[in-house]
Amino acid sequence: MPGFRTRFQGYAVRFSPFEEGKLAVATSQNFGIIGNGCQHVLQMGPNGISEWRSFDTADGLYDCAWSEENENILVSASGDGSIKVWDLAAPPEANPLRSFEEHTHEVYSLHWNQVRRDCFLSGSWDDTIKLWNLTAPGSLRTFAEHTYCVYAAQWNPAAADVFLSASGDCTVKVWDLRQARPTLSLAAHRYEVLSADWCKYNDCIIATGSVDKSIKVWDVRMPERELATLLGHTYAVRRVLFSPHSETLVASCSYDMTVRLWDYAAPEDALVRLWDHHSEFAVGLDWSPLVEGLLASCGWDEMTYCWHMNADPRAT
Amino acid sequence: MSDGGDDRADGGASSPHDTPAPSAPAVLREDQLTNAVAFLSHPKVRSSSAASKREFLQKKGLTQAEIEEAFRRVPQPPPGQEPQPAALPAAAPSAVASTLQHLQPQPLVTYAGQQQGGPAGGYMPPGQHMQMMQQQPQQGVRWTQAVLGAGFVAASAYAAKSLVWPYVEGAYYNWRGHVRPPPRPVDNGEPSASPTAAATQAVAEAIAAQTSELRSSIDSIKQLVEALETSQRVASAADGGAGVGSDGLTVTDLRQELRSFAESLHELASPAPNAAAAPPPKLESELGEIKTLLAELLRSPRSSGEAHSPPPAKGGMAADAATPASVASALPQRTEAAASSAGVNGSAAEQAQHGEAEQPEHHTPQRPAQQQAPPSPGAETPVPPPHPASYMQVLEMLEKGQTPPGIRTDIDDKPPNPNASPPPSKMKPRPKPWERGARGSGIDSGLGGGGGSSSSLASLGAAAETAEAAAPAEGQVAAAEQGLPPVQPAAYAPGSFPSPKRASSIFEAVAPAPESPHIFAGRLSPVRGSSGLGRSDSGVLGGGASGSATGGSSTFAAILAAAQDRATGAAPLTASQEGSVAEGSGIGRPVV
Repeated sequence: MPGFRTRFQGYAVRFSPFEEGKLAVATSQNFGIIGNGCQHVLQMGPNGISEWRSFDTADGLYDCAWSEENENILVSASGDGSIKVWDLAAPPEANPLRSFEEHTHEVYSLHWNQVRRDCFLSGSWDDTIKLWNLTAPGSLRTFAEHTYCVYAAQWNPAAADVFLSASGDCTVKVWDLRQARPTLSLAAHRYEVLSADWCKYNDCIIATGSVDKSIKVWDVRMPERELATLLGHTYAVRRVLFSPHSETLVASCSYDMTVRLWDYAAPEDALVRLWDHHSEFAVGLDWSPLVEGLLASCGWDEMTYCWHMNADPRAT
Repeated sequence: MSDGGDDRADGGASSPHDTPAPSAPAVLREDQLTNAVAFLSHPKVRSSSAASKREFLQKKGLTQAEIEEAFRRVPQPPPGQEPQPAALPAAAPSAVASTLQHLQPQPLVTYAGQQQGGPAGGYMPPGQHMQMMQQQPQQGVRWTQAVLGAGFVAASAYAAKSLVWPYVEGAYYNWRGHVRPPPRPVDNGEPSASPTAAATQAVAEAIAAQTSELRSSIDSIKQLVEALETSQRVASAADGGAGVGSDGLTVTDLRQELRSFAESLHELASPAPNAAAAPPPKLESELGEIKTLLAELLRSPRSSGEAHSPPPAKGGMAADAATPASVASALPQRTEAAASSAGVNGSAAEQAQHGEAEQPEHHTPQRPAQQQAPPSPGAETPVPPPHPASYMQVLEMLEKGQTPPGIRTDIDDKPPNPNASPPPSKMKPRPKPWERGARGSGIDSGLGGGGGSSSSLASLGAAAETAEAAAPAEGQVAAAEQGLPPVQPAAYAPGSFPSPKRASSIFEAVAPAPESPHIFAGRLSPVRGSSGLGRSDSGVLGGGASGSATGGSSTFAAILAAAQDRATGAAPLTASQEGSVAEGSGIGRPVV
C-alpha cells in the first residue's frame, strides 16, 4: 500500500480498536520544534490510504490514542501541555470536544486503558503521568515520581490498574493505581528509556527501548537481570511494541530510519524482519489489534505506511 | 622645771644687783652675756629646759650671775610657756591640717569613684607637705604653702589618673557587669575584632568562589576555542586547501550552495507529487556524487555555528562511517518514494551535519516556549543520529531569533463547548486478541489461519456480523446500553474481566471475582509456566519463528479457561471458541 504523505512530520500512528482500516496520525510542524500540529484520521482503502478527517492544532502533536469504549473519540497529546479530545462524529466546528490543560510541559504519550476502557494515561515532559476520564473535568490522579521527562506510559493489557512508565531518568516504573508509590522501579538502561511495552500474553514481561540503541526484555518479577537484549539498531530506539497476536514478537522503530521485527525467544538471531522504508527518523509505530500482522509506521519524512509484516511497506 | 621657774620668779622679783649670786663674782662679762643671750634666744634652745640651758652655760664658763643676767635678759617662757612652742607647732600643724582638710576633699573628689588603689602617692605629698608646713614659720607662709601644696597635689593626681585610669576603668566596668561603652577608634579589646574577622573571611571566600568560577568559565572558553581551531584545521585539511582565509566561511559557503541546490531541485521535482516515477537518473547520479562529496567535506564536527545553540550542539560528533553509508543506501530507496526529493536531498546532503546528542536534547531545548534545561544523562553518549537538513535549518533560525515561516497563529483549538457530551457509541468494543486467544489454540484458526491480511479481514468481518446479530440475543450486553453515552457506567462485560459488571469507579479495587481466584486484578500473579501451545500461525508468519502466540501461560488465560469450563460445563472447546470469536463478550455465555 503506498504511503500517505502528511503535511507535517509524523510523530505517532494508532490503529482504531473498532475499525480495521482506520488509523490516526499525530503530526507536528517543523519536526515538533515549533509550530502547529495536525491530527489526521486516515482510512485504508483499495487504492491506498486516504484522509478521512483532520484537525489543526495550535501546537505540535506528539501522540494520539483511540478510546477503547467509543469509536468516535480520539485524544491527542499536544506540545503546549494540553490533551485534545476529538469527536469524530461531530462537525469540525464542534471540535475539539475537550481540552485538558494541566500538564506544564509537552505531553508526549497517551494510552487508553484496554481492560477497563474508560480511562487513559498521559505522560509528559513535566515528569508526571496523569490519569484521566472523559467524564471528569480534570485529571483523576497524578503520578510524580520520575525525575525527568516521561516518554511513555502504557497500561498492562490484562490488569486494569497496572501500568508502566518509561522516562529520561533511565528508569522504567511499574505502577498500581491502588498504591501511591510505584511497585517497581527498574533501572533498565544506562541511558534514557524512550519506550516500553507490556507483553500481551504474559503480563509480567516488558520490553524497553533506549537511547543506547538496545531493546531489553524484562520480567518484572526478576528485575535484576534482563531476559534478553535485542541489538541491531544503529541509533536510538524510539518505540517498542509487543505484537497483540504473538507472545514473543516485538516491533521497534528507530532513529536509524528502520522498523524491525524481533522474536526475543529465538535462540540465535532475534531479528526477524527489517524495513527501511522511511527516509527520515521512524518515530511512530503500531500493530493493528484487529488484523493480525498489520503494522503501521510514520516518520519525519512525513510518510505513513501500513503493511503486513510479511510484506514490504511500499508494495502496492 | 620648778627650780628654773622659781629662780626666774625670784630673779624677776628682785633686782639682779640686789641679790648677788653667792657662787658667781659680781662682774658680768658682757661678751659672755651676749653669747648666752643669743644662745638662749635660739628657738631650738628655747624648747629645751632651763636646767639644761644653765648647765650648758656653766660649761661654757659663765658665772652664775652671768647666767642669771642672761636669763634675765632673755625672757624665758614660764613653765606654762613650754607648751607654747608645742602649741605653736601644734597651731601650725592644725593650720596645716585644716588646709590639708581643704585639700583632701579635692583629691577625694578627683578620685571620685575610686575604691581601690587610691593613689597612695597622692596622699603622700600632703603628708610631706604637712611636715614641711610644720617646719616653716607660721601663718603668712601657710597660704603660699597651701597654694603650692594644692598645686602639687593636683599635678600628682593628674599624673596618677592618666597612668592608672585605664586599669581602673576596666575594673569599674567589670564591677558594673560588662556594660562597656562602644570601643573608641583606637581599637581596644578583642571582642570587636572577631566579628570583623569573620566578615572579612566570608568576603574572601566569596571572592575566591568568584575567581574559581571565572577560571572555570575561562577554561571552558579555551576548550571551545581549541575545538573551534581543531575543527577549522580539519575543515581546511578536508578542503584540500581551498585557499579561503577563514575555514568557517568555507563551510558556510558550502551550506548555502547546498540550500540553493536543494531549492532548485525542489522546483524541478515539485510538479509531480503523485508521480511515483523516479527522478531522472541523471539528476540522481549527480545528486549522489554531490552528496558523497559533501558528506566527506562536512564530516568534520561543526562547533562554530552551533557553539552557542542550545545544548544539542555541544561538541558536534560526526557519524563518520554511517553517514556516507546511509546516504548511499538511502539513495536507491528514494527513487521509489513519492516526490519529496528536495527535502530528501537536502536532508541527505546535510546528514553529516549534526551536533546533537539524543532525545530530549533535540526535543526539549528546541521548544523555546517551554524550555527546561535537562541534566540529560544521555548527553555524552551514543552517537547522535543525523538530523534532517531542514531540522538544522529550523534550529538555526531559532538561534537567530527568527520564526520559521508557515506557522499559523490563528488556529483556535479550544473546545467550543467544553460541556458538550461525548457522542454516542454505535460500536461495541472489540475484544483484544489476547483476551480471545486465551481460550485455546484453535482460536487463531478462525483468525489468521490462511495468512494474509485479506483473509483475516474477511473472516473478521463475518465474525463481526454474527456478533452484531448475536448480541441482542445474549441479554448480557444490550445494544441499547451500548448506545448510552459513556457517561453512565454501562454494565457491559468487555470480556476481560472475570466479573461481568464493570467497576463503577475507577478507583474501586477490583475484588477477585468468585470465578477467578487466581487473579487479583492489578497484581501480577506468577505465570503458570511457559506454554507449549503453539499457535498454528506459523503459516501466517511465513516460517518466521513465532512460538506460542496464545500464551496459555497467562493467568488470565487460565481464568478464562476455568470460568469457561465451569460455565459451559462439558461444552466442547470448539463450540465455545466459535462463540467467543463471534462476540467476544462475557465468560461462560452459553453458545447460541
